[in-house]
Amino acid sequence: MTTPDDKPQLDNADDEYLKNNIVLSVIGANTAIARLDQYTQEVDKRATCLVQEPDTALAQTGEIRAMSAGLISDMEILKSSLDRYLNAFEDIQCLTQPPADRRRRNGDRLTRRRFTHYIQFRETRSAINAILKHSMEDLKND
Amino acid sequence: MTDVTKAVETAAIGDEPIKTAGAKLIAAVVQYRNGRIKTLRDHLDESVDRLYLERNMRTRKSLCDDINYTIDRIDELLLKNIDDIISYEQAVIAATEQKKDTACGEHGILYYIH
Repeated sequence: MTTPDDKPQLDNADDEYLKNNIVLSVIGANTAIARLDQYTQEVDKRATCLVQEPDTALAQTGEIRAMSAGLISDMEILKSSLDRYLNAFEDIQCLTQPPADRRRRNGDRLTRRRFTHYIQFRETRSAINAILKHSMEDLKND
Repeated sequence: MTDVTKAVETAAIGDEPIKTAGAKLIAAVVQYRNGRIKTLRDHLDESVDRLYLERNMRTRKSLCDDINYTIDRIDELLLKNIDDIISYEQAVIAATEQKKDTACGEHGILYYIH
C-alpha cells in the first residue's frame, strides 16, 4: 500500500509522455509500412504498363523514380518512430528515480499500458491505408 | 556502368529501339526488386510487431538495430531503382536528341549511355 507522498511526482506526466510517444511512434511505423505496401502495389502496376505500353515508358519510369525517392523519405519516418519509441523509455528513466521495487511495479504497469495502446493503435494501419488511398485518388483527379 | 545499362546496350544492338528494349529491362529489374522489397517488408512488419510487445530494453534495442538494417537494405534497392531509371532516361533522351532511337551497328549504344 502506498501513500500519496510515496508516489513519484512525475508519475502522471511520465504516463502521459510515454503514451503520447507510443501513439506517435506506432502511427509513424504503421504509416511507413502502409507506404511500403502502396509502393509495391503501384510499382507492380507501372512495371506491367512499361511492358504493355512502351509509348508511355518515360512517364512510367519517372513515376517509379519519384515514388522510390518518396519511399526513402518514408523509411526515414520509420527510423524516427523507432528512435522516438526507444527514447521515450530512456527519457522516463532519466526523469524518475523510484526505489527498485517501485520501479519494477511501474515497469509492469507501463508494459501493460504499452500493450493496450499498441493493440489499440495497431488497428490504425487500415485507417491510414484508407486515407492514403483517398489522397492518391484526389491527386489523380487533380 | 550498371547491369541494366549493359543489358540495354546489348538489347539495343539487336533490332529493338532503346526505348522499348530498355522499358522491358527496367520493368524486369524493378519487378524483381519489388519482390525483394515485399519480402523485406514482411520481415519489417514482423519485427515492428515484436518490438512493440517486447519488455526487455536490450532486446528492444537489438530489434531496432535489425529493423534499421532492413530499412537500409530497402533503401539500397530503391536507390538502385532510381539509378537504373536515370540511366535509362538518359539513354532514351540522348538517342531521341540525336534522332537515332534505333539499333546502332558500328558503335553500339555504348556511346549514348553514360
